[in-house]
Amino acid sequence: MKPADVVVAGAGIIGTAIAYQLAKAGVDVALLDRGHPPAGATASGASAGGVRQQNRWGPELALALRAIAIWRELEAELQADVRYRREGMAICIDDEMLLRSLQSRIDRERAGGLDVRMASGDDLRRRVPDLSPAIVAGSFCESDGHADPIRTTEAFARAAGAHGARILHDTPVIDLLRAGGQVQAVLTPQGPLPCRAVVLAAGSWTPALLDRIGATLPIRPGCIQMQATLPMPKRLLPVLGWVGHGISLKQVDTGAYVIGGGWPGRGDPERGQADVLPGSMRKSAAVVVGLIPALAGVPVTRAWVGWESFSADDLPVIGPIPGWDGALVAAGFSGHGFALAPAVGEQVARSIIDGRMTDLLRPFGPERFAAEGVSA
Amino acid sequence: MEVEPLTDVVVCRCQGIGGAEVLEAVATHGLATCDQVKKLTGAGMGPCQGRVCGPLLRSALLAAGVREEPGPLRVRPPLRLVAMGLLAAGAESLDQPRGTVSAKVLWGLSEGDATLTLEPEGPSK
Repeated sequence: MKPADVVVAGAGIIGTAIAYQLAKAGVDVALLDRGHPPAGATASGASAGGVRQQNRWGPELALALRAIAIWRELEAELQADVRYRREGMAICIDDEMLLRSLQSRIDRERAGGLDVRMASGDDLRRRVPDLSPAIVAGSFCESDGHADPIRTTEAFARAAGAHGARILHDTPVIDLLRAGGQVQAVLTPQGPLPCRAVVLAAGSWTPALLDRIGATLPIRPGCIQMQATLPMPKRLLPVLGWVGHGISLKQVDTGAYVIGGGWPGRGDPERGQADVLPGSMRKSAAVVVGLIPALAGVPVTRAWVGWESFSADDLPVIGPIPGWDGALVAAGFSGHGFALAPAVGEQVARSIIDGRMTDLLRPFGPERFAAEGVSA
Repeated sequence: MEVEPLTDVVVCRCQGIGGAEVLEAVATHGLATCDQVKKLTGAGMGPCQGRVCGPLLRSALLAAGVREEPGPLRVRPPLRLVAMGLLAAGAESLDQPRGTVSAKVLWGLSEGDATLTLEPEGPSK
């Protein structure tokens, strides 16, 4: 196959964002995906579409702040309507015993540069009139919001192509080839594609690929489940979370309520097949009704499942793959990578071009697991 | 009987997606199955879950020249509309016979305005 300077494996939100930034910088990049369009069919298809900075652990906050700065201009930059809505997010609590931990998170995030504040239950009910009276307080961040994951992935892919990226669907990366420790090519069913560098951004497919090249990292596939309702008159502007209850609730442009929260589906990672778990639908629905009792009568139209990769510490794994010079991994986003993607794309592209990881990405390197003896 | 060209037809009434948009997506991305069209355009994601638009999507793909059967849309639970509160109560929605959901609940109309009856149906063919 025709060589490329850099190969990006995986055309989900992470891979397309990386390919876009590389192509924009003039790098000869090939973006490969195992699926037929619309690829990015796995995690990006089952993302709840939250674009938040709140409730990020450690080094993720800085990356999220950078991401939201890019999100502000993203639709203009990609010349696409990705349904980005920045109408705030509230993370609620229903127990005054939780006030102290909520306040300490807010303090930590404010120290990290995020404009987030404590809101009383009544403050929150002014914004969300139907919110349960059980909610006593919450954190509120005006600059959090949501966007459409499929449209965003598609927009990045299209913009990457417009800048000259070569996009190859139905072309899985099945192995990497190296000489003297340096990556030489990726192997696909259509043959080897010679390259100088490769980024493995294949989501839940990444662990098997890492195993294949003997660079096992503590990343595992898992499937998460979502559900959505009939379109309803627009009533909910912010995104809602609820401490301890597994919910991310938003009302999208069509009027449908989209419900996430990390509920598991039932799947077989070997075959990449997943089914909806009825128990997850019920429990997730119970949380919705607990948070907004008025939604009890709103009909659910569909539930679906997607594969995502989870890391041992629930933080993304981004950095050089040990033993493979020129190979980077960007996976293990653990169900919260969508909002980060624009910054991940920018920073990974810069790291490849500069030949060293940027300051924002350095904390996410795979070597953090080696220190704990987790890596194989 | 004169057949309207697909470009002039509203393919997915629930989501308001026209034939022209579907055909463009098929041509631009080389789509080959109904599920791919659904994912990219949103056609088939609405309340009817493809019961109305599924056959039209299939026709569009066959008209665009796909060689293999583009297939029915993948069926998504809960097959027919089930109120969040019923789901939350653990009601066996799939086993329920014919049920009615008041239009007030659905659209916020005042009581007695209308009642929408949901026909019990199997998955789309």
